[in-house]
Amino acid sequence: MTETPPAEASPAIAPEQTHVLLEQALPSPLTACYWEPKNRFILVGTEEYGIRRFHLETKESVPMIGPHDSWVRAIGSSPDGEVTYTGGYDGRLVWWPTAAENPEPIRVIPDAHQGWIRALAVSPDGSRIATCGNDKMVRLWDSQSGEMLKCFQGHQWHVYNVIFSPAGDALIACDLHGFVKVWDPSPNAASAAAEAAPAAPADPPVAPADPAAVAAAPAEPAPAEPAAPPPPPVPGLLRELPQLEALFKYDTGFRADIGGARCIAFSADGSRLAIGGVTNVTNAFAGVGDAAIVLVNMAENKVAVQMSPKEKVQGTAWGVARHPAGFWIGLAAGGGGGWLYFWKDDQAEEFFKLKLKSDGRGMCVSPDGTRVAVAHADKNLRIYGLFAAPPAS
Amino acid sequence: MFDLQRESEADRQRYGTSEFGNHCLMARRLLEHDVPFVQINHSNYDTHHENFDFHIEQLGEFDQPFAMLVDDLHQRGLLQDTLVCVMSEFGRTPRVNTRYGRDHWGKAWSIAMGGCGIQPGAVIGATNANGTEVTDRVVDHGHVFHTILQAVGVDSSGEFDIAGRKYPIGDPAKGPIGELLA
Repeated sequence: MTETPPAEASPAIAPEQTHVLLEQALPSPLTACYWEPKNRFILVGTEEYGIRRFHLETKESVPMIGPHDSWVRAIGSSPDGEVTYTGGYDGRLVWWPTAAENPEPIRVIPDAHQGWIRALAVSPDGSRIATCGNDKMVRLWDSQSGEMLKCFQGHQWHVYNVIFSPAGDALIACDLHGFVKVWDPSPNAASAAAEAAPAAPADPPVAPADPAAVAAAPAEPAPAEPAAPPPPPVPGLLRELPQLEALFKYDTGFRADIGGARCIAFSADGSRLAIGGVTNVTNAFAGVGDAAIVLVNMAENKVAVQMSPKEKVQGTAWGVARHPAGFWIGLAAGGGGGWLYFWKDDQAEEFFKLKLKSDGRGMCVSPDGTRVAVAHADKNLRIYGLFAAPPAS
Repeated sequence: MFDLQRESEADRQRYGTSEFGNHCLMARRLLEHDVPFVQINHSNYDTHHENFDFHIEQLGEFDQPFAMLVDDLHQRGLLQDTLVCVMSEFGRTPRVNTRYGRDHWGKAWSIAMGGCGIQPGAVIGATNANGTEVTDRVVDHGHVFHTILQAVGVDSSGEFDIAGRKYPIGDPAKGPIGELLA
């Protein structure tokens, strides 16, 4: 699969010319953002315990608040953008009519997870929604009926992020400790909820030894203790990636874990998976560490490169996206302020960075690839153009 | 007394395997052996960054062993003469900072007391809706110390003597939170 270049009518993409196009203040600090596929709205998570629908033409912001009782940081939609899905720290999963004049929830699943829903993803064909959260579960839902199709159980820690492969044949989830598991989202996949875990397969039969050959063979040292039997297979688990050790630390001073996938994205051909977070942590409770995005080579099942700011800036990577023109965009925020970074394929150091006015907490790219939106902690939604600004009049 | 292996496997399971769980179980053993004062620390709530991520783990570690300790003290009749306090020296900012952290807040926070000398179910004082200010029954550490001492039967208005010099037991300008005492 090749990556689709921006539409012909779009301005020429020039990341080094990135500039602010719009700054829109909203009533509370922002937590996340999602660019609706039809390019009508940006759906923005706020600290109002819900989201706001920001209309790109009218600049109107419509609250979508009510069914949630906590922050919403997981936002997605059907491929046509007509149905919006939100997952909250209250464990609720909600369906919304995206473009309704006064959006009221279509469906609310009150206990989709026990505790926080940290992320959601929609399958490329729109038929399934995947969610993950602090109950250590990854769940798969039918987007039409709301029925839970699968519950994948195997993570030992809070599951921080989830994403479908571009082909839709794999569901990748990363937990607090940087363990990445690849789950089978197909209808016939096993899962913890659908059926009991199958018994461990029996060891393959061993051919009996030829007594004559044994007698002729030189004496050998005593055989080692038999290896422990392999653990039973985890229902629905296709494979595991190497632990992303760079994105996890147990802070011995504070006796606390810090890490996990704060952002996740695939390249369009599915060959690279980018997972962002914080590395080199020296003080977890003050957030002293460096933003980093680990790029995984999916075919070789290994880390291809760790993309980090050339000049160390305290922070966490809160957003990552693959641009159709073939580079990666990362959002970093923390003690060093807010930054947008731009990396070329498999390059550890960025080729351009842009200082932001405030810390960003979420990032999304417009469907045509010309703009990036950042949900800022200072209550502003800012939209940045990835092209040269017109000369000042 | 400090050997938790003397406790049953079931009890060690109930308290959990964390350090705090072990310390709660040890506290029960100490109180059962008439040790007059036991302090258990559960540190690391100073979350200027990602407060909610860290607290959900810290509180998860706190809840079960603490509930087991209070339950066991109750079952053994020890709460009749044991005062239990859960307290910290300050709270966290009601406002969430840009990094999802909460900073230091000394204007309003809560403590919990139960057991000996304390009126069960009492809720004393109130803040405004955002928790930024106390709106009813302002008290400080001086009142809390008087309350603790009087709950366990110490006359906090008295004095003690160090090398011939008199010191007040409690702040003379303060008194106990009377409506909290049983």
